[in-house]
This record gives sequence, C-alpha cells and structure tokens, in this order.
Amino acid sequence: MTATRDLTRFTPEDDLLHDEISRSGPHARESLLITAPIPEEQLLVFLYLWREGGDRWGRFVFVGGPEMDTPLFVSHADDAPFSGQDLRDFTVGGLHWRQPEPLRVAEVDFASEAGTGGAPGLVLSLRFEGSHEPFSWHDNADGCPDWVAHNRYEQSGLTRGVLTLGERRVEFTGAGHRDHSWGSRNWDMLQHWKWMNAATPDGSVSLHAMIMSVKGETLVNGYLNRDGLVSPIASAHASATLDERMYHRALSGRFTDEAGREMTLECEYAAGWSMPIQHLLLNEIGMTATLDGRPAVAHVELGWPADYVRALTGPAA
Amino acid sequence: MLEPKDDLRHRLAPGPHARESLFYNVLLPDEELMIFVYTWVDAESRAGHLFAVVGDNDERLAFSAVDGVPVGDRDFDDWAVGGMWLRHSDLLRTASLGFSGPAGGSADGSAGAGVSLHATFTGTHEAFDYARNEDGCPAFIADNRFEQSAHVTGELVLGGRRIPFDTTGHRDPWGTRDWDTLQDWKWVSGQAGDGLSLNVMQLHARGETTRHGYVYRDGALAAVVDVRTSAEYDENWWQTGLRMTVRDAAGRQTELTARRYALLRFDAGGRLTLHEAGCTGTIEGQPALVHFEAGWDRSYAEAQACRSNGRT
Repeated sequence: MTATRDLTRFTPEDDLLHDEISRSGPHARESLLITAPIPEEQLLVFLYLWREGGDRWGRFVFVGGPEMDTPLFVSHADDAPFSGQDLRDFTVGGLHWRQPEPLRVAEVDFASEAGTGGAPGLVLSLRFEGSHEPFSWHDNADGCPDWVAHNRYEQSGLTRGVLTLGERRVEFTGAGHRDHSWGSRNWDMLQHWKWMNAATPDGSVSLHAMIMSVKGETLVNGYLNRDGLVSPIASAHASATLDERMYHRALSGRFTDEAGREMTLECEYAAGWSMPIQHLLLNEIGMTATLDGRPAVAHVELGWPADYVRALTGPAA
Repeated sequence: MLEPKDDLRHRLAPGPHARESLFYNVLLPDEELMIFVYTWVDAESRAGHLFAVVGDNDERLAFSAVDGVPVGDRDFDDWAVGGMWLRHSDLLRTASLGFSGPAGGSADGSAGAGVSLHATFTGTHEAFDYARNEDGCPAFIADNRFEQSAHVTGELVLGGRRIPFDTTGHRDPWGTRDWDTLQDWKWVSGQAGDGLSLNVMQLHARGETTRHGYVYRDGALAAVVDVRTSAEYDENWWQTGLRMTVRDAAGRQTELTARRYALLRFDAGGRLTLHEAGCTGTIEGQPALVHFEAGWDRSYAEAQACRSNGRT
C-alpha cells in the first residue's frame, strides 16, 4: 500500500508551545490531551491540559468508571500554576507531563490525595508511545477550521501504566490516543460532534475520526491507519445509541479514506464521565470495540450543548 | 400510502406536543413579497394561525398570529381561524384559502387599509409523504406529513393595491411536533414551472442527520436519498443563498441554486428560531421559485450573528 500523497510532517518544535500563534488573540489556546481507555477494567483515564490567553493554565484529570454520573476520580483546576521547560518537561496543577522523544512519546505522572466530592485519591503513572507519525487535520478535505485551531495533531498510540485509586491498584497496557492543538478555539461554533478514536491492542490498526455539526453543515476529519499507511478520511458515517440521559451506550461507524480503504467500527460502553466545558457537555466514554473486524478499544467523545441535553432529558421532557 | 382523508384532520393522541399543521406559500419576487400562511390545531381542538406578507429583512407588511382558538370538530374542508379560512375541496389535490383583516404589520400602523388574500392551490403531482423516504418521518416531527408542489392562482390586496398572481407554490401538512428535539434543519421547496419541482428537508436531531422529500421531474416523482447543501448567511445569521445537490431514488441528480429576496423570522417552541427566506433561483438551470427555511437553536443563531458582527 502506498500513500496517495505526502502528508504534513510535524517537527520536534511542534511538541512545544507555539507562542507566536497561541499566546494572544481572541480565544487563544494551546492544549494537550491523552486518553487511555481500559475497558477490561471498566476504566477510562483522561488527561487534558490547556493554556488560554497566553498565561492561564488549566487541566482536567479524571478516571471514569461504569457509572457516567459517578466518576471514580475527578480533579479540575483553572488558573493552575505552571512550572517547567516549555512542554518538554513541565507541570500544571500537579500534572507532570514529559515528552522525552519528540512526536512519539509522552509520560505523565499525577498524584492527588482526594478527588472532588471526597472520592478516593489517585496516583497515576502513564506512558504513551505513538503508533505512527502525528496527523494534521489540514490534510483532510475539510481542513482544520480556524475556530478549532491554527493546527493540531492527532496520534494513535500504545499506553502502559499503573494507577492506584484508593485501595484499588491497576496495571494496564492498551491503546489510546493523544492530540496537541494550537491557535484559537471557539466552542460556540459547535452544534454537536463525534470524536472517535480506536485501535487494536498492538496498534497496527487504528482510526481517528471527527464528525462535526457546524452551521448546519457536517465536517469530517481524521485518518485510517492500517498496513503501515496513515491515510486521511474521505467520508465518515457514525450513529450512536443514546440512553435516556443522552449518553452513548453504543456506536457504529463506517469510514473510507483517500486510498479507497474502508474500515468499520462497532463499540459498546465500558466507562466514562460527562465533562462540562463552557456551555457544552463532553460525554467521554471508553468502549470495547471491534475495529476492522478485530478486537479493539475505543474512546468516543460526543459533544452536546448542555441546554439541548437538558431540554431532552429534563423532568418536562 | 396516503388516502384522501389524510387531507383532513387526524385523531391526535393527547400530549404536550400533539398538533397538526398546514403550510402554504406564495412567492412573488417581482413584487418583492412572500406570502406565508400557516395554521395548526392541537389535540384539544385549539387552533391558531400565522399569516404574514413580508419583504426582505423581516419587513412585515402584514402580520397576524393567533393561538388557542376553540374550533370544535371543524375540519379542513371548511376551516376558519380568526380571519383566515381554508377549504380542502378536492382532497390531496386542491385547496383554497384566504385571509382578511388589518395589515397589522408595522409599528405605526402605516400599512393602512388592511390586507386580504384568496388563493387556490392545485397540486402539480401526487402528494408525497415522508414515510416513503429511506429515513422515514421521524416521530418527533410528525406521525407523518406530506408535501406537494402546486400551481397557485389568486389575488393579494395590500394597502389598497391589488396584486393578482398565477404562479407556483407549495403546501404541507404535519402531525406531532416536538421542537425541542431539533438542533437545526433546512427545509427547501422549489418549483421551476409546473413540471420540475422538489421538496427537501435535512434534519439534525440527537446527533443524527436525516433527509426527506422528493424530486418531481420528467413526470416522475422520486424520493430523496441524499442531499448536499452549502448556504450563505448575512450578519443576522439569516440565509442569503443556497446551493444544493439532490440525489433521488430514480438515480437522478438535481441541482438547485437560490438567492434570497424576502425574509420572515419568528420563534417556535422554547429554543428555536425559524428563518423563512423567499428566493429566486434555478433548478437544473431553469428559473425557479424557492422557499428556503432554516431552523436554529436561538442561542446558536445569536452567537453566529455576534461572530459575524465581530462581537464575542
């Protein structure tokens, strides 16, 4: 299998802050994310940090479990202290993040005595190794809209780590995903989205797909990774089964890339949490999956305006 | 399969969203006018209407809206709600309607001598119901609904001026409606004469996209199977234009373009705003009249308008 065209190549500097782009301006933002679904343990590890307006750092660390409404651990910090060397080795609000091998490896440590609401403390150590070169949304036909980011990369990878939640200790190896985004972010543009990441345990087959509803139109981004070739998604169709709270309990997807390859995804709920960001709810769910006919794990985020969800799930609905 | 009685009232299950509604339009671009006629009734036989004659930018030259009017068992073969009347005389084929009353469209009352309308809609093809589409008719918009392009004749009298018309138009009746489930939608009806017309509804609801409607072309009516749209908007987030490609079950591809000349805006349900654009355009390159309705979550539309104006 050969590539249909050359894709964006990121440089080691792209692992670092992009001050000339993300430090100022409306909605100025730079963010990093790692997700590690562990469906066999009904766990989802989710790590997200950002810098807004050039100097305000924040982060989410949560571990979702079998009940969407009762996460096993949540810690959210706005205006969190930052220390360290750029994004090569730094800490935001106690979340220690290193990128020892540019564009390939991230290592994260976090320890907290108690989560929000008196939940057990969390001690987490996680290593992420990319399975392929990072992918830019600019390589999709719909591009990377300027209100999402100036640029962003997405990467499937293998995860390995250990977490201790109160008395429970879990060592895990699996497949996950990370992204790095810089530029401006205007969440007001989004009406709904499905952000889907799935990989086989060895990382040889993976996908990243984003379907966004924006201004009444549908935008598609992402890639398929198979047989050593990462190719931009050309079309994506996904349908979710929602429960009475509008949490997705299952999802089916069909994807085609520019190389003409097709890939299917079927997944079912394992663990998650509904994360509020501004006026939105981001339903983050780790899932057991079948990808391209093979056992896999997935993280699927569906984003909704909170008012819309309230209108459909509230007492008067 | 539609039956003639589907052009009359249906038994509605009691409930907060149960309603049946009828819509008719007449587009008069040479006069820069759009006539919008909408009437509805709920399961408790309380009816309403929205009648409007508008120019561009929601300029209401005539406007009347009533709701909660008891109508008892009155049916659509002899319908009347507060100055608006309607007769479905030849079921699924012909409808006559009218309105008379004060114009009521301007704040200072300068619309003057009042407004009256009479119009006869004659279907140019068999009525098409959304149950025939692959995506069906979603339960939150109706038990079923049908759409029909029509030849329209009649006369509008506005501010003492008589405006006769002999043109094309569109009509549709609905069932149960739960506005809260909708995220956004586009509803488009267009006619390039009596022999080439279409209706398309593209819905976004609960994170899914569904497509509904028909294309009537070369004497054959076929269900819509796929739609591509690209719309443009002004600083109010009111649509100014549309390009649309429609594929139908007969394997045909039909291209539509539209450019707005009139616009009516009103709210519906607790969250939604409807932007009704009267347009001129083309279908397969032939001159056409197009009605392009865009429905939005009100706060989303306001955010987009602010963004267009450079505000955050």
